[in-house]
Amino acid sequence: MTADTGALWETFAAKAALLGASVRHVNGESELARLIQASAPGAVATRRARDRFPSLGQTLPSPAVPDGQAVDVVGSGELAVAETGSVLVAEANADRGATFLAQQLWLVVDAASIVPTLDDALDQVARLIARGTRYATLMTGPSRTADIERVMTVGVHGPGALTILVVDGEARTATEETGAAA
Amino acid sequence: MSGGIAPFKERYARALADTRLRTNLLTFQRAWRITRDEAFRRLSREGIPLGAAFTSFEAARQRLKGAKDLVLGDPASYKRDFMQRATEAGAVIHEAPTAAAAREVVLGILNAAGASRLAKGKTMVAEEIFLNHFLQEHGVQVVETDLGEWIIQLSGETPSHMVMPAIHKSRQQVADLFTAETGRAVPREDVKAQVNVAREELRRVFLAADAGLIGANALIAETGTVMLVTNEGNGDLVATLPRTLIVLVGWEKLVPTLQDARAHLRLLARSGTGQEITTYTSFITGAEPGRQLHIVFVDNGRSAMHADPDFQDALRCIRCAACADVCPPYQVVGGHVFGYVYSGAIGLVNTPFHHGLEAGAGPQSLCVSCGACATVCPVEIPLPRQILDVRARVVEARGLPPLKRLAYGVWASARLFDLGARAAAVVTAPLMRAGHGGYRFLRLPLPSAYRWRAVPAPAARPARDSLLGKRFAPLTTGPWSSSKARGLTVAYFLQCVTDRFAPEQAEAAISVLRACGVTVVVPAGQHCCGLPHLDAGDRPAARRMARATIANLEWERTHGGYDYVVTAAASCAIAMLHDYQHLFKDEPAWAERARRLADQTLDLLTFLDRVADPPPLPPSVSAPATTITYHSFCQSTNVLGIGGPAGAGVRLLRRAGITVADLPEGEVCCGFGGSASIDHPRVGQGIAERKLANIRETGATVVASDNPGCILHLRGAADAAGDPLQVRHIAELLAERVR
Repeated sequence: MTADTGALWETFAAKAALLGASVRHVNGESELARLIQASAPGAVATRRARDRFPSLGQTLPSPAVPDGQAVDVVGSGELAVAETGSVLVAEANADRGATFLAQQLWLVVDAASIVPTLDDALDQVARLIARGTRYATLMTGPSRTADIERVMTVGVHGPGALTILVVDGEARTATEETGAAA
Repeated sequence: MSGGIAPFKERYARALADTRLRTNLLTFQRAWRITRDEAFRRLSREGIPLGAAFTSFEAARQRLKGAKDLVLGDPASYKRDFMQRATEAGAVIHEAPTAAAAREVVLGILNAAGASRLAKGKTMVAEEIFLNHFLQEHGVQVVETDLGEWIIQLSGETPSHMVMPAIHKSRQQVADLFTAETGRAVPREDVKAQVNVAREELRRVFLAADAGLIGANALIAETGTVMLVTNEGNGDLVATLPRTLIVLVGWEKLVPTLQDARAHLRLLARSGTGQEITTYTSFITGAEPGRQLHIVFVDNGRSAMHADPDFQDALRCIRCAACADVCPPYQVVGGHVFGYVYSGAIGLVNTPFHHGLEAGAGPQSLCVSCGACATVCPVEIPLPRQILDVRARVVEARGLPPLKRLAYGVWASARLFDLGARAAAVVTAPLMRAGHGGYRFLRLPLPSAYRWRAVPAPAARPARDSLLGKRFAPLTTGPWSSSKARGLTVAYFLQCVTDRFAPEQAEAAISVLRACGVTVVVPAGQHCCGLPHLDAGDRPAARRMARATIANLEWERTHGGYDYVVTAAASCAIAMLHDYQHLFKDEPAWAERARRLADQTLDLLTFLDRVADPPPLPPSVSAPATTITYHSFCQSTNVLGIGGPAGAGVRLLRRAGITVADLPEGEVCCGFGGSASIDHPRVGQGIAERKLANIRETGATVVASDNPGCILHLRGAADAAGDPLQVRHIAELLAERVR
């Protein structure tokens, strides 16, 4: 991680804390797999997450869709946005349903894949759309509502808990991945 | 929601009886203001070091306004671009000219897809076309999945706020609705538990639905993308799980590019909820394999709005509801009354187009024209002016009620008004009583709805009797006599209300001007500027009186000469500065004459602050125990930009050596609102009570203001409440210091 991305991850972490999202840094893929095994033993992982991190693919099954039963879902975070604490997600339809139905969502992001601003993130959205991505979402924290008496409640229909797993070490930019979400 | 909306009078009566609603909305508005303002401050603080674009409300607003105006300049072209790109990506486009057609289109899509269980995300357009009831009548099971929308679906209501549809509901009411729906006892105090009930119940709906329906927060023309901004996750679940997705939109949601979406996203959540960004910002482009995406464009009056130059700008709306969140009458009555389907200021403007003039007639009458909505609108829609335009059309269609027509008719004639006013002063003299604050009121048998505000007694002698046609020399000595305005000549506009009820305010204003070294002439033949008639919706009369005022002041300019027209009646100054030109938009010659008048017109405070710029005086030593606070006329704040703790009024008082306590919610209207507080006394009362409570919080025994309407209104309300509060024109306080 460079000094620049380090500073950006600090900004990101501050935002995430305000949003009630957790951020965990792991060194390399094997530590990633170990952490998930320890913290979310029954987790399922989306195809995209399994493709990017083959050791996840070996240890975690795909989500069964649509059933809404999976408690922990590991998804692929294309990039992180320091300005807002957001993560860009572009899962294929079946897996996307699982990420939204999860009680706890884990998004895996390469440490090098962080951009300063929403503007940068939208540039990436534009690139994804040009390459045929049909559905991309900037996720910012766990789901929430204030519809009852304006009392803020975290955890409505989308995940009630969100953890961003930042993978340091072998930098692999998500943008090089083939196969846009389809 | 169920089939129909109750008549305005019924909704109004129900709202007036709901004190809890009023309290909740007050808390909400106060909280919203704080979080929204802080969110924009943080945008600048944090965005600039990161290199973000549009790092202020104003910068983002100008970008988004410009983007929307591009679309409004050539909607067909942007629609075409969007539809082409979306179709290339696999979406099916439908267009429906009317609400009825749109309902049929949606039903048709569902039938063709064999879908009978519809899961709905939040969309105002579906409310606008009364979709749910229609679908249910045709055998489609419709379940709202947004928490607020589900709550009002269960209670059979329409949304009372565009962003927080169930804001009028208490947690106990929600618990009861959920208990009835689920058959299980739902905790009445535990909001988290209630949300969990919704999560469990609606999970089943997401999974069982065979079709989903959402709206769009923006449509990106260059990519054919639907942008969806949500917090709960239901929108994305509805858009993901069922095989068929319908997106229901108005074409005004179009923006040209994804770059424009940046500005949109910087503005929407901050303006809507005070959040920096919502939890889920999704970009949906076309259909994924094996799925259907239908985009239904509903017109339902949008083209008519577009074709109408007075209302086209309102199509820039991004449905953030900020206009409701700063609206004083909205706080008193809520969105079911201050609106129809759409609520807040924008609801008052678009309801005639989407639902007919009748539907819009009641809600628009509640607007007090304070201008707050326009200051927070992320796309700078001229809402206050448009609401008055709606009012003019309502009055044109229905006429004024007979009593009003008579009163305003007399008022419009300088001669009849003078006779009537003098007669009234004589006739009411025996009814005069001394009231609180040292002011005189009339002992009148008022209907109970009006007893919260005492009626002021007319002055024994109107101001015109001692001031009209006179010329007053400047003072050559005194602490402000060598101000930067020394040697100038000012034509002073009296104002009808000041003339008849508070001559001392005009005298004080002239006194202060003279003390600044200014020669003051009071043109003979003055009458009312026509603002009351503009406010009442009688454009022809307003124009007649405006012409007379313009001509009167022109005559003075050519025969006597002056550098400025100045008045201590800020409302009239603003009418001359801003409203006159719009009144004459179809009469270029008069519009030009109005513009020339506006060029030379200033309200008293701006004249003193910017032109005279007098030197500071040592602190006042008289009455040290008196705490003074300042209420800036709402339009002075929102239209002239001279309000606030650093505004002209406070600054001038301090420059005159007077200590001023900050007034909480200083920018909020006092509730006078011209005819609004007479047509809707309970609303005027609600807003006045809010203002008086804020004043009381400062401990002030004197409140100064720059507008006679506010002053008489607050004096009357204070008196009726037994409050000895003194309400004075700032000119009077300044005059005491510099005479």
